Amino acid sequence: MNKLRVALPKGRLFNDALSFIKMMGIQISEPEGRKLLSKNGMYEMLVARVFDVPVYVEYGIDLGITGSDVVEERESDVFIPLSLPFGKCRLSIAVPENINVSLKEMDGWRIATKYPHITKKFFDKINVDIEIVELKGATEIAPGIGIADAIAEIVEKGTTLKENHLKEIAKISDVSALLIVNRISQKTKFDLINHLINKAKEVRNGS
Amino acid sequence: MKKDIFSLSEKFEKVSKEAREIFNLWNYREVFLPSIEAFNPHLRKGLKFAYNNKFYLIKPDLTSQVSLYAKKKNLRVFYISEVLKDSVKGEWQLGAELLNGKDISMHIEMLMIIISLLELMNIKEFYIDVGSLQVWKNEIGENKELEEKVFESLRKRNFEIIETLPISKNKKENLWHLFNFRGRDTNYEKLKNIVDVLNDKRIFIDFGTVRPLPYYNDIIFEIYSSKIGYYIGGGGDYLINGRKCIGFGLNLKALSLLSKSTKKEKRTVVHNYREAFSLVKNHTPIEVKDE
Repeated sequence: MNKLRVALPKGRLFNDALSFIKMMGIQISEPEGRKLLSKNGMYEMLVARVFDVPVYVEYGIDLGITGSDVVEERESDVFIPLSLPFGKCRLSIAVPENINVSLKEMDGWRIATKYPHITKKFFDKINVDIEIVELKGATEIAPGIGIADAIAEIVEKGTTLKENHLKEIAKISDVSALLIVNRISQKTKFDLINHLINKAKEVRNGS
Repeated sequence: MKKDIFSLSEKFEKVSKEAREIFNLWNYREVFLPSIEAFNPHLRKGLKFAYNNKFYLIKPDLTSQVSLYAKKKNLRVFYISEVLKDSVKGEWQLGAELLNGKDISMHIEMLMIIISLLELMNIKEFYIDVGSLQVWKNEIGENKELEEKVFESLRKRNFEIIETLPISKNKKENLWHLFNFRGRDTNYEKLKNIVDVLNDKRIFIDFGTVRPLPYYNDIIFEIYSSKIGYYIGGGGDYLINGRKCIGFGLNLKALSLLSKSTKKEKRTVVHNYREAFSLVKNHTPIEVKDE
């Protein structure tokens, strides 16, 4: 029997991702207590940091769900057969609310972000030279405490930005959850993976 | 903690030694390429840097590097070297290039070398998927925009990119058929002939096969095993000034992980260096021990 290993992200995507894979027919429960792994018959589920999911899938976990922002940032060598109908948000540039600035005027600015590659690429495209301050979280406080001039961060409703006296001035990209597949599993488990992708498409399209 | 470079070197040395013997049997000569090349748009990968107002690349992709030195004559070379992938992150590779070859004998020769390399390294559980870029180009025609979208769809294995294109239903169905084709029988004669001659159950025709580098011309292949989650290697044919060439690269780390041979070469134990010197002159493997 073909074993299938799935990696799901901790955090805001977890509940949607878990119900989605269950609707795809992967019947598996959330790991108990502080465990990060659960098993049910042929299925094994691993719960990892959202930034690590594409790395696990790139190096051998068969299938995963994570954000498009993370896959782009990690430049992971994985298949991306489907975008999913949850985790919708955007990656944006935000500056302190009392400053009026255009992107072109941000030459030499220091930008705090969890997404150094995407941010650098975005500014390179418009020929604006910026300095990146890489942070692992809570970037919204960086301009307020003076370690950066602006941030590149995920925005859902904009509440966190508002509470930290920031305003969104440009969108880098739309973000959504993605189904990702290990390139070798796509070959060695061809029929099973294709069946699951079709099933995911049906679930997503509500058919 | 720093990785154990000596233990890693021991594994790489073993695999490299076996590879050198096999390449010699196939009459391939080892090529020693410079670590740094002046920047050239034909070179792929490598780490870019500037020195004295000139641009250079450290450890670029080896196929594109070998092609810089290719003369008109027929050439069979192999290499064992590190490649930097647009960053300081490197990957050790061993590979071969056959320059100025002929269809389909060069394809068969290259794939046979790969099979013999893997088998002699005692790696039995592997597969080779062979695909064709020409098959896609025939279906797409001269439409560059469509070609770009189709290859993006292949790289991501996301057929939805094709589904949203303004092309006929019939065209989409043909592309869907190619997208999901995996087997051993095809109407594309060139590919069918290659697979028929090799007659190996580990070889599949998979039109969904894609390679990350842009210089390939038609036939491409990927080598993998269900025992590790990433590719052992890959390759394909390409043209240099209209002349047909083919090459492949294998990941040395993947080979050393999969290679199971535990055979240890018997060495003559000697206790003094003069005796060791005379034995080595006669190609006898030795191990010198302190008295």
